[in-house]
Amino acid sequence: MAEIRFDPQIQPLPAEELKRLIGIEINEPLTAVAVRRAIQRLYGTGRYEELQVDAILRDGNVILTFFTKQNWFLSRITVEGAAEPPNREQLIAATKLELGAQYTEEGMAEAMAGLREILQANGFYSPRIQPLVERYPAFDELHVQFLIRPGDRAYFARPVITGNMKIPEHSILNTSHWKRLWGVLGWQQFSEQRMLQGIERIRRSFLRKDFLLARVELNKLEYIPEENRVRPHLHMESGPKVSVVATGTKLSRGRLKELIPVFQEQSVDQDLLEEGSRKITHYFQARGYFDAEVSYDRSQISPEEERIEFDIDRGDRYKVAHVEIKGNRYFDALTLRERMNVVPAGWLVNRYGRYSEELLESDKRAIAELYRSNGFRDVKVNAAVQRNFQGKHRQVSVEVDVEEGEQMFVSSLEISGVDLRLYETVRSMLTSTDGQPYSPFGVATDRDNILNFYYNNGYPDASMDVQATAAPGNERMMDLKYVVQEGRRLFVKDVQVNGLSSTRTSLVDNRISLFPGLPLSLSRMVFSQRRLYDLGIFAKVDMALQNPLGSVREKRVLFQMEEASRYSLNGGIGAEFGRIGGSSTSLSAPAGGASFAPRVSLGLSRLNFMGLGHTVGLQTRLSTLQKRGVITYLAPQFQGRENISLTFTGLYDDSRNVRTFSSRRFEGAAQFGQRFTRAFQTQYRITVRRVSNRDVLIDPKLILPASQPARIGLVSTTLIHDKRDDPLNATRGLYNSVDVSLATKALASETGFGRILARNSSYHRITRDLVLSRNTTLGWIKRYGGNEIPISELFYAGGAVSHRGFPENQAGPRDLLTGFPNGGNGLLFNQTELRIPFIGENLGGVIFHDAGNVYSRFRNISFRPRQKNDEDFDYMVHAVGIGVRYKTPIGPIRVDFGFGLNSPRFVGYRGSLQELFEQAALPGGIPEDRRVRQRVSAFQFHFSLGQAF
Amino acid sequence: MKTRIALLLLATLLLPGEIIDRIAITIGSRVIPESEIFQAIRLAAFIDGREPDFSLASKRKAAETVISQVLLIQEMDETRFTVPSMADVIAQWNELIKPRYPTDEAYQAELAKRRITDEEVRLYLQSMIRAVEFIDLRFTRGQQVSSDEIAAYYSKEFREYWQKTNPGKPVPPLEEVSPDIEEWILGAKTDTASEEWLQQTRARSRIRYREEVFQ
Repeated sequence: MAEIRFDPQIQPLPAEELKRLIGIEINEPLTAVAVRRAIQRLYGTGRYEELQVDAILRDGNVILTFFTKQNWFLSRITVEGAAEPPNREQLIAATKLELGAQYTEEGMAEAMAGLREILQANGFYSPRIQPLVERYPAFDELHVQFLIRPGDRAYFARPVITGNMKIPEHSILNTSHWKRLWGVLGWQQFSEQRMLQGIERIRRSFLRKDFLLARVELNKLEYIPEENRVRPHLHMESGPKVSVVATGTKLSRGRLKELIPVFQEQSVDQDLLEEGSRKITHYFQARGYFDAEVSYDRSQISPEEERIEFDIDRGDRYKVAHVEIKGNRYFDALTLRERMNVVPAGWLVNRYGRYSEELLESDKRAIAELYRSNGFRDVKVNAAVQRNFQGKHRQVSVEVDVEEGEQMFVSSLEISGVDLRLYETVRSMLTSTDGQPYSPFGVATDRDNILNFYYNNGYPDASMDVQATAAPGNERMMDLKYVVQEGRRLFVKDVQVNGLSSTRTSLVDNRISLFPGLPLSLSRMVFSQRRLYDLGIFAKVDMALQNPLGSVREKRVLFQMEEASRYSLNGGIGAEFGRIGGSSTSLSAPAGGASFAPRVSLGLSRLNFMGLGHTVGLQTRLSTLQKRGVITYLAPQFQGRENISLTFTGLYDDSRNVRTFSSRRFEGAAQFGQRFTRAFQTQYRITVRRVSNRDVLIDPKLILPASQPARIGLVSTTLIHDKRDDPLNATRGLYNSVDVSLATKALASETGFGRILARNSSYHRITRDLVLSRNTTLGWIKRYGGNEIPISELFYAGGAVSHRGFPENQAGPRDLLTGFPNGGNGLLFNQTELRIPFIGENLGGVIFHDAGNVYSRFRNISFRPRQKNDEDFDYMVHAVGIGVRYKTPIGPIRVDFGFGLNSPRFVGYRGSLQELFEQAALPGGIPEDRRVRQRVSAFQFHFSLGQAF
Repeated sequence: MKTRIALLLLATLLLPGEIIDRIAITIGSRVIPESEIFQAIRLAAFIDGREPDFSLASKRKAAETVISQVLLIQEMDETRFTVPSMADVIAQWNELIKPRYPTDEAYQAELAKRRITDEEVRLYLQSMIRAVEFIDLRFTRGQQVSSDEIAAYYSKEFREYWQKTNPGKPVPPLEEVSPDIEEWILGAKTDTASEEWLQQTRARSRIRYREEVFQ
């Protein structure tokens, strides 16, 4: 060998790397094997599309020339110009081009064909597709953009329908929804989804008419270019009418459809009917009819009609009075019961218990699996069902007998194939170590841990074999051998982000935790992707490696982003109803009257403001009780730090949520939030607001000071410790919060006061279905200077979330003349609730006891249950009640009925505010006949969303 | 003088070189150079004891065999199928190759004539043994031959075959030939199953031929 040349001279790999890969030394004899291996190694890097080696002999020496054609890699794939459907995602998927993969002419041809196919399937029969390829030689990559001019979308043409369908054609066409306004406006535009939905609707219409064996097939789609229409050719066979009925006992048609698979399969055969019988039997057994027997009969009534009759003999209804587990030593009965579906009868739910042969078999398997996964290889689980339990007919007991057998242990564990530097780390993550229980489950866990460790440290090809053999002389002990094949290790060459148009690059870069030179970690890639999605500004974040199959160890990581729509508009209508009624001038109902307040809300958000990932939002609400507008600026991951948020808020609020006055607020606030752990977070806030109250329904002498506008400047902090399992519907855990505020002159406050509001809630699962929850709230306001605290800044409480013996904001001190609540400086509430299931998974109920009140002063907080007189409100009000909860994805819908055991009595005024003014000015004061002794109604109802606490 | 040297250099640069190797086929990231196909032709011919045929048709056929081998090796490696020991290879060599050559010199001379090495022959044999064992494990075991199938084959095909190849001789009874028929049917089923697997695997793999190599 004299010389090695390259054509072209500039190669995609560095000279040193090339030399290493070719492996042919100058002045050494040249062999065919060496050349072959050089080609294989070079091609294996994935950087070359073509390689050819030529040799020239000169003076007995060889000059070798490598003719190469390099590969290009796809770093961005976009499709522009098509009208939905198909959407952009579908179009990109149709190209079958993969981010990071090699670019080939064949791939491009396939991509074009794929695009044409999907466009045609959606009614675009003459699209123009222009592919644009933009090369970036510095990175050996290219961007592929497909510009589509789809043309006009085709319309449906009247379908050609053949076959014997027994339903009029016009009815079929109407069912398909392929016509616009039943044909008045012609035919709909064609799309694949609309066509498939239409066929499915037709199929369902046959089912509704008991043609269970109906066949609806699309034979072809005929395109009529002159009219730009697509004519579906359908073939339908309705088949005979098949009526499926249940006799012997009542079973709704909906339940029949759910249990008998002939409806879903649109086919009737013995297997499906047998399966239907089994399902019906299981259905009744699970409801206590343990002897349920189901048989079926299929009969031909006429050539056009069949009848399938399921004869159900459900027998007596039994009660699972007792479930016992015996023989278990390693696991306690509670642990095993948690895995069982067979449950004994309860007093409120599952009143007959839950049992069926199928459930019992599944329970036996679950218990055995638990034992096996803990080393009890030979475990046996038997079960016996005893009738006439304790001599009572229709009462059964289920006895589960566990034969644990011997527990297996690991005698020795040998690990091979692991880099010595990683050995201790790998060893520390294993569970099946010397002396520990042996089980296939434990071994599988070890395998997952080891492989995850490798995948996350740049070894994408890592694999592991396990050998388990009985230790010599001791069958209870196992010798384990883990053989690891680490495979190649990959590193990050660099990271490239594409697809950002308005988002700042730094915002994205801060969220990507992959850095050049570090091992390529799968978990870091996924973590980076999640953090980018968490910004809430990307509709799609695709991630790939450039040249993934190539043997090059340094990989370029590609991120292709698609920014989400920047504006979102939301609106809603709703209503409040409860004891919120009464006019702003009438004094006749200080404790509120049943009323209804419609509400409209509208919101507009601008996401990714200035490309920073921040959100600016305007939210408005309008109801008869409230007019509210809030402008918010939210920086959710401030300065790139996931645990810090910054919020600025401007608020206008004019509301009458406390019946005593109307309050108008102009408010500006800045809040800095910091999350320290998953459970613990703090918020620091500065708030300045101007408050003015009007229509104040209290003693005229006090109205003027109470109506004075006031400026309040508050500095506050909130500590939140939340360990609930589900904030919307907690079943275990606890929640603590303390909110401390100080109104201070430093923030131009005209009054000075401090305020503390603390809450502690805990949730305990008593049994699998019963949850005991409790909540205590304590509040304190203390003025230390400046003007009087405005009436609207005091504590008001009572209602759905604080005390269900009161209407909304009706607890606590009242004006002695008018009887309207006038707020307090102290607050104590304690709520206890037993949450129970009612029917199925979604409907539940609660039994509750609420106690507490708003007190005139913190020091007046009292547990005294009796009201001393009509002017005493510093006592503890108790209420008991029940409620219903219906689970929804946004929290339970709830209705609570409360009964106040000692609801407050008070004296109010009968008449209007004008009359009160006039009479208050009289020398004799208010006539006694105008003073009305009354009481907060003992019966309260509350309708709301979300649990009370 | 300088001009002469420059002209000589230019002439050297312009001289067309001989292609000594190039990409013939790619299967995903695996490449089959043209020299590998020639080598496969040489080795197969040596094992079969015939002269190598480097015609285009033979080259194409050898290329197909190499593709199948590559796919099979990929599958065996992925499933960590064991590699036969050298003792097994030597036993096979002793059985197939050794009897053909009276002396080691004769063997070496034949190898040199055919431009192959002893190591290549042994590796080729090792690869063959491994493939046969893999096919046996993957496609033969688990195949079942029912007595009905044996009886059907006996009555439909065996009789006819016997009468053609042994005219005048009585057809042996089913019981006598049943094991042979069973083995034959098993072999046919194995072939079908392995062919199906190969076809599916080829369809899944991105195989790209460089047609200029086969023209």
